[in-house]
Amino acid sequence: MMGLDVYAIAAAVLVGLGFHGLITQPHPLKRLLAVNVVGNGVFLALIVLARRLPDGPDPIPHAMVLTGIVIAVSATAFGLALVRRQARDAEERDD
Amino acid sequence: MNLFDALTALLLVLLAWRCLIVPDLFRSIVLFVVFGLLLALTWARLDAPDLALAEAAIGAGVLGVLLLGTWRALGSPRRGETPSSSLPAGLRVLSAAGSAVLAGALAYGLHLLPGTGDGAGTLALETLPLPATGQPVTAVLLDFRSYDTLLETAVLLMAVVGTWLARSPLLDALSSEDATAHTPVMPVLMRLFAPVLLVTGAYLVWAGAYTPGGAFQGGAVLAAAGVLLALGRRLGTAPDAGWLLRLLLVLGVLVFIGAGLLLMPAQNAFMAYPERWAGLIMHLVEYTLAVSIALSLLLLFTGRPGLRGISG
Amino acid sequence: MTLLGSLVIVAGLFFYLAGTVGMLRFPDVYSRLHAVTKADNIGLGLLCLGCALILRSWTLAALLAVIWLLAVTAATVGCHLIARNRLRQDQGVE
Repeated sequence: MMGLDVYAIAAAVLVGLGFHGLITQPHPLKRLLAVNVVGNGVFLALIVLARRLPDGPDPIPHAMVLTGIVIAVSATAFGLALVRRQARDAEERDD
Repeated sequence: MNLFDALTALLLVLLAWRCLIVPDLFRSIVLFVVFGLLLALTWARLDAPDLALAEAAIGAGVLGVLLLGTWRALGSPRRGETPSSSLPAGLRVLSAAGSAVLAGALAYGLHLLPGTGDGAGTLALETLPLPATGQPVTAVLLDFRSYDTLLETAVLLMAVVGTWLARSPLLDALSSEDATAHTPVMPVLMRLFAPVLLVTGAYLVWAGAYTPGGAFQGGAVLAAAGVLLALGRRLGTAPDAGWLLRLLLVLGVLVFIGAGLLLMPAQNAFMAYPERWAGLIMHLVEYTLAVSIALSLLLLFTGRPGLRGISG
Repeated sequence: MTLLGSLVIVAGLFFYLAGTVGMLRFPDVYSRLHAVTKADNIGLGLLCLGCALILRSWTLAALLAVIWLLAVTAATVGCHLIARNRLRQDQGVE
């Protein structure tokens, strides 16, 4: 048993919060933030699990989270480009 | 568990909650950046200094600039208060209940996992040519899980191409009337910080083989130097990418695949390196990847294919 | 040395506290910026000094000094840009 780890609880709560935000928030930028909060919750859970090895932290989850951070930023940057494009198109329609 | 950990975890949750709940978009973004910085502190606390560096540089730094820039580029009617929610109250309650169940199930699942045990990490630490690199996370990234790293850089490239296709450049949208224009302080800041950032980024890439750091952390810091120059109007956009820029952009992936393919006949497997060469190949891949990552992150910010220097 | 370092760190924390109280209590952007940047720069400086005293190493002390210098520069420029932006907004409205 892992016992009660505050960071594990925080990871679970972050995933729940982000999921709720993703469903209820109407603004696309806010939704992107919500997806990122879910992702960070998952990363936190992985890193908490990496501490289970008896001698030092497990480098594999660390490498996977590093990969995950970069992919999350890439996807978010592309999402932000789409948000800007959508806003521009909406403005042009209004004119 | 001690008071510091409990406070950090509580603050993380509170910041995420406020970030998603405040109606003002600007506040929401600032809270998210603070959340990222606190997360970097959490990584350092959880024995993951590599992640702390990456989170501070990429998660909070680059992403923060992108978010704030997008906020500024949105027209004024879209950037102020966001409507709280268009969903009926019943569905909102349902979503909250579902999310709470999800969070509870996750916490319970994490709680049930065995406290100690063998992970894939034990295997990796036994098989990796550690003397060649000395730093487990870098070695895992470039050798043990090299497919992940290769595909990740490909995802980064795809994001850059996708941003070009969306045709909504960020840098050009930041109008000239903003506060960075015509102030005597910006040139001084650039002259002081750009070289420091370049040296720090290069150091992080080089140090990645021995201590926490690596291509991604170093690349992000190098990209930050570019963002600083772009914001100070020393670096502008161009409609087309020259051949040099294109080459540098894909160089990391090319070298990575090339190293894997060239040694395939000798090793009978894609991206399996002979023990004697592993260290050298990893360094080569690391340096070229850093250049490509730095350029990709910078182009994600400027949003147009080309770059050109502006002499001041 | 450790005791002295701890005392310096506590003094630094007091400056941080003052800066934060100032940011929460002061009425407008300019006085808030004044409180945060000034108090926090001194707070960070004392924090670095305290850490250097406890660690008793010249290399680390030099590194901490560089960190403090960079942070102070960044804070100054950030403060200047925020104040400038606000000033323009105020002039534009009036």
